[in-house]
Amino acid sequence: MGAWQGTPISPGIAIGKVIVKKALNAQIELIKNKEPQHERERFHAARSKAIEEVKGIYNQMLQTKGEKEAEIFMAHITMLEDMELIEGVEREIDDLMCNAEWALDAVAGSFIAIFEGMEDAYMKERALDIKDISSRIQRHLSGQGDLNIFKLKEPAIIAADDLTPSDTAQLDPELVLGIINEGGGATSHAAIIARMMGVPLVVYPNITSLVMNGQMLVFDGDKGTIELEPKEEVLKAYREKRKNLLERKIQLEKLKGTKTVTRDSFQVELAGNIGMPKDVKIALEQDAEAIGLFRTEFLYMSRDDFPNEEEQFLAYKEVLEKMQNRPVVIRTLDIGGDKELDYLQIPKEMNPFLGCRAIRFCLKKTELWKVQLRALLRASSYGNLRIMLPMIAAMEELIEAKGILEEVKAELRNEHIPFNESVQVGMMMETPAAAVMADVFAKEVDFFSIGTNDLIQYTIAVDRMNTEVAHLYSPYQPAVLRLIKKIVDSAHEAGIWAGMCGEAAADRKLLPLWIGMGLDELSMSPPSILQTRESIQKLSHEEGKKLVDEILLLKTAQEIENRL
Amino acid sequence: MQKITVTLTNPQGLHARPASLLTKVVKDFKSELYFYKNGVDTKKYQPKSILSVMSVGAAKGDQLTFVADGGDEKEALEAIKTFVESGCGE
Repeated sequence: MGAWQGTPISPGIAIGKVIVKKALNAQIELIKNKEPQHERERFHAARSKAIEEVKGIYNQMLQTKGEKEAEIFMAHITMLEDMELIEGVEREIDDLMCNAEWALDAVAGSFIAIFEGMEDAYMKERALDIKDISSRIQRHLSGQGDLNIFKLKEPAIIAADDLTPSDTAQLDPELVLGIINEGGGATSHAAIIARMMGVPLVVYPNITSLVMNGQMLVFDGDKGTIELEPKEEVLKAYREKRKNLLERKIQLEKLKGTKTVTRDSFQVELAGNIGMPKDVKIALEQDAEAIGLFRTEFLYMSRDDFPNEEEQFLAYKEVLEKMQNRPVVIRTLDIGGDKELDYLQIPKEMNPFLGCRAIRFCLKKTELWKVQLRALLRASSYGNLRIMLPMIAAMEELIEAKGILEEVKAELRNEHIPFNESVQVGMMMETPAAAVMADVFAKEVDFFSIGTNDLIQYTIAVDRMNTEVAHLYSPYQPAVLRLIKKIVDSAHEAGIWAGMCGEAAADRKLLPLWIGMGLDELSMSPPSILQTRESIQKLSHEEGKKLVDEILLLKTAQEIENRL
Repeated sequence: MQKITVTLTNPQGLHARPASLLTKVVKDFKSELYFYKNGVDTKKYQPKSILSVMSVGAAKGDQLTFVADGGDEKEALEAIKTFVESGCGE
């Protein structure tokens, strides 16, 4: 009943029932020649479900917050039972012989207009209540009302029109069998989180219009194939593949506790990328030797305001303590670009990826950034912290950032708050400018960590979200590989370590090059760690060096990929 | 048909909560009901509808005239009078 080829993003096999998650407020269309009786019934059924739902919220609020806070939901129930609303919608349905959605939108719209036109600020705001109840009914009319993807009752595959990073982070990996998203590429943040949680993910445009709640669906996160209501033999093939993956996983688990070392005794530190303190558990389960990238921006997402110093301190301390003195690289706040915060009004920029993001934002909002630096330094007493600065392009930025860090250190000394005086400070290498100047930067920091996702994007000048040019976005581009070589060589000449924390770190084809170049650390989504260890144990550092020399003479990404 | 005119005394006027309570006061009466504000009877409102009641935008000091027509018109208007004069439950 339908088979499609999507873009594979996060590996694994998903078999299960589908739940559709669509953002509402999609344009409501007028559909004429509907049977009025049927549309009235649809409207009343959706309205009853909405009332049940609000009653539930009311009771919950009553118990947890008290009568005053719950009252507004009582008002919502009264609105949902409102005779003018009901009669208005029924009249509209009868007069126009239109769909219930259109009738509701028209009637609610006229009330919203009345309230928005009122002078009293309080009454103006009541327009929001009408919008709220109206969209609640619309959600039930669309047939996806009963389903809350964050509170799944049973395992399911989620088909979404646009799953945001914070949506993805809130999902329960125990119950989400897989995700099919309409947008976003391999390096979108939703993709990164899905990989970290080990949830298969495929991108396919328009999927939410093709499937319905409760339908059986299978997809392959390695190949991108999707089948709706598959025939028995297809289902069997998928089950077989899932079983094989499971066996492979068990086989890989035997590598836990073994060293990450090549045949010729070259040792690499294999680290995990995380977004939240709770992810440390996932990383440790996969035998991560360190945390190579803690993306702190997730601490700032899915909330109403900036996390304060104490909250941040506790989060960093938790990660450091759980890692028991093993290295933990924490990247300071990296927002802007495709990462926005609901409560922070970042002005729209023409080119957000070339705009005020990451360190540039932090250097403008120094008070905000100092809170994070204080929290980090205080936490440094509890483990092996390494602070990483994102998106450095110019030496001025590094000098300014280090200056602010010194100010914060001085404050803490004055207040007699202990911290690790020799905490390592490094920079993320993700701009071509930093890569070209790596020999100069290497004298100013304690380590480099190469962020391949952005380094590729900025080097090739390709928007990684733009499907029109995405084919150029490749880690096999010789320009990118030459820059990486330059970064690693510069680090070693200056006697500092160089790691890599982009998606390319776990690329099996590129791994011999990273070993050949002598990267000291590779950090990746935890589910990739054991298979990378297995590959490294079969490689040789000396052979890798020769391969690097050979590869760097090739002219095109295609030639390089073929050779690897 | 009977009518009464009452003056709003509660500080918030017909905000969500008082409006919601008014709809509850009148909901079980069988008579035809409507009301208007400050003598302007060309614009009629429905006391059984919270949206209609709120859309009046009635504030403290406004005069509301309620009109009832039916078997229980007297009782309905009395209940409304008591409710409004007691401060709309606030």
